[in-house]
Amino acid sequence: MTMELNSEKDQPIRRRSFLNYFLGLSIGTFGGSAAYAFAKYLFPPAAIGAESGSETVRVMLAELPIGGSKIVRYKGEPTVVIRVSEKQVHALSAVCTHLGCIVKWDGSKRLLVCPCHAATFDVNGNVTAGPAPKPLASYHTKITPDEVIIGEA
Amino acid sequence: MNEHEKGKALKEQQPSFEQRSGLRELFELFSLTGFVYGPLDERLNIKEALEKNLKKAVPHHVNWLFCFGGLSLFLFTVQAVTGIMLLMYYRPTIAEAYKSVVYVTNNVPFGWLVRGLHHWAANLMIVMVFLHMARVFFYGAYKPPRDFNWVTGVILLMLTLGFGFTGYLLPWNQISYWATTVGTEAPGAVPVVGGLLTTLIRGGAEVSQTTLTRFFAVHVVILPLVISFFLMGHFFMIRKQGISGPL
Repeated sequence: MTMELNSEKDQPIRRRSFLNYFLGLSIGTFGGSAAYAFAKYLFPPAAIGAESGSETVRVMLAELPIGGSKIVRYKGEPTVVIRVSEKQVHALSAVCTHLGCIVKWDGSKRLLVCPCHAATFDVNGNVTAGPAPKPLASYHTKITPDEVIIGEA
Repeated sequence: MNEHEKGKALKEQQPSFEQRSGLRELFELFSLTGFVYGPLDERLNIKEALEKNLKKAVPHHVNWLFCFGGLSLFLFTVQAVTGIMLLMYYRPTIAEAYKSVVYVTNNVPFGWLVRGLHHWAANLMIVMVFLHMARVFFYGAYKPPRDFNWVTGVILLMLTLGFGFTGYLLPWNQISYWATTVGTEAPGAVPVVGGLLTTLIRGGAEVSQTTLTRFFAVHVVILPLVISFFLMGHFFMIRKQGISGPL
């Protein structure tokens, strides 16, 4: 009896304490990621100066293949940047004017499609089909040799 | 054993200097376990209270069906936390309510997650409350001496449904406006005082800003206070009387 007790004590780590550490680690991981999301939640985009009028957003051309698109944050709103040809780039609000879902660029149809109720928009933001009541807001873009500047005229 | 001896015995249980590691010291300092298990425990017997509650044995016949009550409480906690988070951005006016909800969903980091959790936990909570009630009913656990706990349980069910009904209006979109119009029409069928009831709930002849203000106040202040009171009663009673017997 005493021998058994001793042999268990001699082990560097017991099964129960291993399970306890493992449980603690799992709770820590889950709690930590929840705490991260909640901390981020308390700092809205406007609070960090994203809504100022003269602000511009730059996208590297290397990240934007011809026919491709990218979602960026402009004026605190999700904005879709579409490169239709070598020298032509469109930037539009990505928030569908119907119920506020985020529209996606469909390269094969050359349309922006809303995943919620299938509203579609052309590259200028005009409604081509579906329930959207208004066109998407369109922003000025400027191409430099290696990047796109959204915003400034 | 008097208090002094107790404190001495506890001190002897603590690991000796050689057994302590720097990592452990740091963990105990920052997680406050060193404080809670140390000086505070000597005064308040925290360890004993924790052991009593966390390692309390349940009767042998208890199975997974007995989890629904605890799940309801868990979902209630989720609702309290995410609800407070949503209050950081929500604006209860007919001009701005919908806009602020869209803002939380699309612009605030992880806002979609907080709102989604609040939405789904609300639906799941009602499901869990009904499953809990069904379990208690089919086990006959509502019978004396637990009949008063069944009464508080029914009150809790009503309060949960009240949370759902008032919360549904708050985004102020088409579906919530018309659902509230229909829902507040129903008390109008009560004889004699029906019309008065509808006007009282709406704060006017139709669903308006007053209705939104009222529902907001009920959802975030009145119902949480009332439900906390009944939850405490529910838990004290089950603790005092214990879990009911097998089928």
